[in-house]
Amino acid sequence: MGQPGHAAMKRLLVVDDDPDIRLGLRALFEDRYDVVVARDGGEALRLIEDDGIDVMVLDLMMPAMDGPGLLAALDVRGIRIPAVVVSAFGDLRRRVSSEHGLEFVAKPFDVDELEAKIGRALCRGEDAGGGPARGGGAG
Amino acid sequence: MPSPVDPAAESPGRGGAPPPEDVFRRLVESVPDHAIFMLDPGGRILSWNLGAERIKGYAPEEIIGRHFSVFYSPEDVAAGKPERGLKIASSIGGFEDEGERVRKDGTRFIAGVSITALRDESGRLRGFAKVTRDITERRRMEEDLRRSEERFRLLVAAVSDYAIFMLDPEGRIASWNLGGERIKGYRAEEILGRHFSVFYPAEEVAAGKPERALRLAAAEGRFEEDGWRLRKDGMRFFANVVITALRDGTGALIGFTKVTRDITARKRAEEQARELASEREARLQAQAANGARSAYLSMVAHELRTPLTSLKAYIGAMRRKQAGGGTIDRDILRRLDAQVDRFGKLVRDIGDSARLEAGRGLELELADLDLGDAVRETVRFHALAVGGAPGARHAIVLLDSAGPLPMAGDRGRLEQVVSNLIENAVKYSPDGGPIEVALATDGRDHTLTVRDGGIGVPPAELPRLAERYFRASNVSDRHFPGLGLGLAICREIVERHGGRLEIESRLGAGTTVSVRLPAKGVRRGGFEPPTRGSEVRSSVR
Repeated sequence: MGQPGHAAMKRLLVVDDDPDIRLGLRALFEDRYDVVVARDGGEALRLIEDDGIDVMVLDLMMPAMDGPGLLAALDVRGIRIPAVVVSAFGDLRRRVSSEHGLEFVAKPFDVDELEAKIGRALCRGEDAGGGPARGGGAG
Repeated sequence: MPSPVDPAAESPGRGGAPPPEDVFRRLVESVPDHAIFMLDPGGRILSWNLGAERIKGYAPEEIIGRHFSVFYSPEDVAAGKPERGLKIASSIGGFEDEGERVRKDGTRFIAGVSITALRDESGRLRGFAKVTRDITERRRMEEDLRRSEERFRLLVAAVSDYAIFMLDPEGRIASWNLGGERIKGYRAEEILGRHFSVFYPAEEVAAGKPERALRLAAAEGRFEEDGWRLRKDGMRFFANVVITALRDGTGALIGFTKVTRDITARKRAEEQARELASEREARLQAQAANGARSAYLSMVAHELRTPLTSLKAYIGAMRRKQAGGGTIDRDILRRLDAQVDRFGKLVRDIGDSARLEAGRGLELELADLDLGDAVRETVRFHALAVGGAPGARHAIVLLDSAGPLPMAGDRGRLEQVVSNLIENAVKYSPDGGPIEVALATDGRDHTLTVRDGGIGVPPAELPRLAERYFRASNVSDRHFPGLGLGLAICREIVERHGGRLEIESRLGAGTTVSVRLPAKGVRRGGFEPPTRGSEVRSSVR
């Protein structure tokens, strides 16, 4: 599945507690991104710190560390990852206190819209001068 | 008047005692508060006593022999008052008068005077006895009292916010004031003498309320109540009434005072305040119910959006693969199918809940089946779903040594129970671990057990766990989406099969759900109603 480590590919992290959404997004994006998945904020934080992530698709509602929790944890560490925040609840923006230069999309999302937003989040990240975030590094 | 000789003759002091006239004279002379003196038939003063000296200011030697008109004011003398007094006394025996008199020093006082004509045995006028008291002080007090009563009467009459009136001992109205006129609508001349029960509504009169009020006031001194009263025009008003018994110095009942206030406005205000409060309460309850409903609908929407999202993702992936000339992954197709099933199950759960909500039970389509077969198939499906991805955290283990488990039941519904229990076990053990599904039988009952090592349930909440919409506090706190329907529907299905669903759990240490189904309990065409309800308990290990 996928082409891990392809040099030209940006690394996309999908953070969602639903296995089918993780699998679906991997199947959807594996031909243009190096897709890695995490099932909650804690796992995502480890991946970000260890592997370096270019952009993420982040679900808000998860057991253990949820989306807002992960964003706060990244803030504390001074790490900024371009992100598209997704939620199955309508009132997305109200649920995230820090803006982080985030993109938002509501579930169920249109696949092309999600991809456009991932692209936009990446551009924002590059405008802000950040390369891929690495453990304890950029920020 | 008895002869002065007679009492002396019978006196125990006879013999050594002075003559009775002398005793009497000395007694009179020493009386300090009354001027007692004699006049000759023409009005000249013949004797004088201590009281006379005190009251009028003259010593005996200054006044004896003078005409008694010296005590009158010049106006009274000019009007012939002194002579008139003597004339009346001599013609009818006595004369009494109250009027102004003059002291030696010219100051005036109010005197109570009595003049008695003194005649000898032949009836000849010998003179007059005159007794004079200074009643200035008494007059002043009487006047003060009169003025005070007058002021009080005027005050009561002028009070317009209170009906203040008197009743005689039988309850007839004896006085009336402006407040009575204003509040009750009667003028004094219309109401004086009428019985006060005229102010009571007919039903209260029939119930004997007015008499009871007087009886209580007479017995206890005071009676107070709030109640409806009638105006002259028939309108009702809400009154505060105080009735007080009036008694004279001997304690005899002489009547009642009655004070009535119109408190209709106050009562209305209180009622309005009460109504407002209860409306507010109702509104808050409705808001709370709306809040719960909208939270529930929002959770339903969330639950439906999640499988839709993965469906969109899978379909999007297939479309791209096809557009790029690639082949469609069979695994994706299988998952797509599973997602449609998941979506369908959610819709079914919501529909089931609506049926239960409406008081209609779930209907079973009964057939002979092998419970072991149904459970194995369901476990296989879920094992693929949770264990199919790399890094899967859960392993579903089936402990099945029971052989075939024949029973009559609704296979689809029983699979729904197994699915629900496995899904719960997966969902509520976020750190992964084995999920153990066990089958057993004793020939009479088949037992299905689903055990996880997950977050468990707070013991106090266990009894409510299988209630519809109930969600344990540790899952609603920790962002586990869900509708609170699964277990309630499972219990309903199990009980419809004549079985029981039991939950054991320890917070932080996992949950075990056991389902006992009678091997022969359900027959086609009807089944025995469950004899025992499902049990939930917290096990202590």
